[in-house]
Amino acid sequence: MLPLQRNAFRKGGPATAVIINSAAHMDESSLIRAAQTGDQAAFEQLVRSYDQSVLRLAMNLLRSPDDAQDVYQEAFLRVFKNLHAFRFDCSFHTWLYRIVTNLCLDHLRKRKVRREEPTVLTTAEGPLDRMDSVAEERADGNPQRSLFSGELKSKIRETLAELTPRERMVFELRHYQGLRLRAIGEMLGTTEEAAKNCLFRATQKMRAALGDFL
Amino acid sequence: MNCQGVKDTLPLFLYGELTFDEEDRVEDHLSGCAACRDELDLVRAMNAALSSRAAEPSTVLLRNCRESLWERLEQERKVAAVVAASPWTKVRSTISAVWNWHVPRPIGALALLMIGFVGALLTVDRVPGAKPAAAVAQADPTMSRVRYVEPDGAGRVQIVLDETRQRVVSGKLDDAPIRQMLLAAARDSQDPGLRGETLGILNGRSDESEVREALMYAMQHDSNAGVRLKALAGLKAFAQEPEVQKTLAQTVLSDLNPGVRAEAIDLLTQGLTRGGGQQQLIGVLRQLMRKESNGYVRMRCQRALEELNASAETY
Repeated sequence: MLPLQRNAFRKGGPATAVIINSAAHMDESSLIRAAQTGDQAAFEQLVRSYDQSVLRLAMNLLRSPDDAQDVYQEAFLRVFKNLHAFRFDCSFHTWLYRIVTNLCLDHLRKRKVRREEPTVLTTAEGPLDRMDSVAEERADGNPQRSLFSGELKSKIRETLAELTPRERMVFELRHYQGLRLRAIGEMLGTTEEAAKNCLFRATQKMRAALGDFL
Repeated sequence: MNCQGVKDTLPLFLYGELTFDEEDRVEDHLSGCAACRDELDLVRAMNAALSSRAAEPSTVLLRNCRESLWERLEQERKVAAVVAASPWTKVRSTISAVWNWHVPRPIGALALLMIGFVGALLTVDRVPGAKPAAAVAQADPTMSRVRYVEPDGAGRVQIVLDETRQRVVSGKLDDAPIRQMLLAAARDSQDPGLRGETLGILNGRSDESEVREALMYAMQHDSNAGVRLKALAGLKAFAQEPEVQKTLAQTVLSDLNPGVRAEAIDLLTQGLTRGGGQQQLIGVLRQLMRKESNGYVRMRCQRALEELNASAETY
């Protein structure tokens, strides 16, 4: 292996940029094949192509930066260890998301058992979702609208938490990640029809719970 | 299609997940039914409300995730290199190469059996570092983790353990070994809590250059904002030192955390006022004002410029 390749993962090293630039010119299947032969720069480039959407998915589903970070690390470690077995039978995106969704489902199931919603804090003003604090709608300083918006948010949180892990996953992948039901079915190891039924149940539950707030 | 049937399919209709025929029927129905059009508006509003809850991971979180992943992958590669370099792996790959080449399989099998038998006789108690299981079991104060296992043909298995032996060391900060251990923990530990605590202890000795170097290193390289703030606190008394000023200026202009940037502004202002070099400070602050997006940091920066009587029109 070239010395430059060995340096590819070190933080901020000048070699990193050189290698990344050469890897950046490869298409995805060339990157995967290079990574399968042990090319670290290609693997890093592959990670960088997908890691933001992986983190966003984990964050939206788990609503906890710590859990999202755990899923991120475990998912890419599994990719690193099993990439040699990837045979291009499906797209890399599907393969990766299959790993990520399985890890997230495990977290959601454990959480259901523990009855835990880690991002929600109980404050004097009622429950507060830490994840809502950044891009919150300000409701134009109108206290009534603000109260209403707060209630709606709280109801959305409750309703999403009430969905089964599978419904939650299908809804997340369709609504927030914009994936087609066919792709979702493939990722979750089920049919498009089963994914459709899951999405149908999820939207029905939300319609029933949120109708009065809209 | 009746109203209830249409209402049920509206979410899927909005996601574009109906078949062409189903979509056609829903559109037909909607054109003549005001109640279902109202329901469609409501489902649209519900989708918009749900979309407003989307969480976007921060750049800091993404950076932390990447850094921990790179570190973990380094460890994985080191382990893989150890496995690849082990004598057993070499013997196995040689045998495998010969096996695949020209040795007839029955002869190869017999040879392997002989190698296993003779090897077991010769190597027991002689492999460096290999201990009988009983010896491992007796090592009470040691935390062991199985790193990898290597079976041989004779029904035995070689297990490589990562062992962490806990040992309590105590001493004063003046003791060189104690200080060296603290400096190493501040720089290399995987645990941000431990790094922060260690820097908290070292902060009392920031009059020593090696401690200041560790604090400046943490400010520039530590991935945890809390640890960087701790390092900043330790440098307070030495803010007028040129090396510290340089590090502070770098922090002000490039740290990803607004809290750290704001603290660094205060310290830099305090250090440069004490030690002179106001023009440099004004230059750094103006540069920051040009690119800073955080309102609180901008306010602190502006206040610092006003204290230095720097004209507001110049940035």
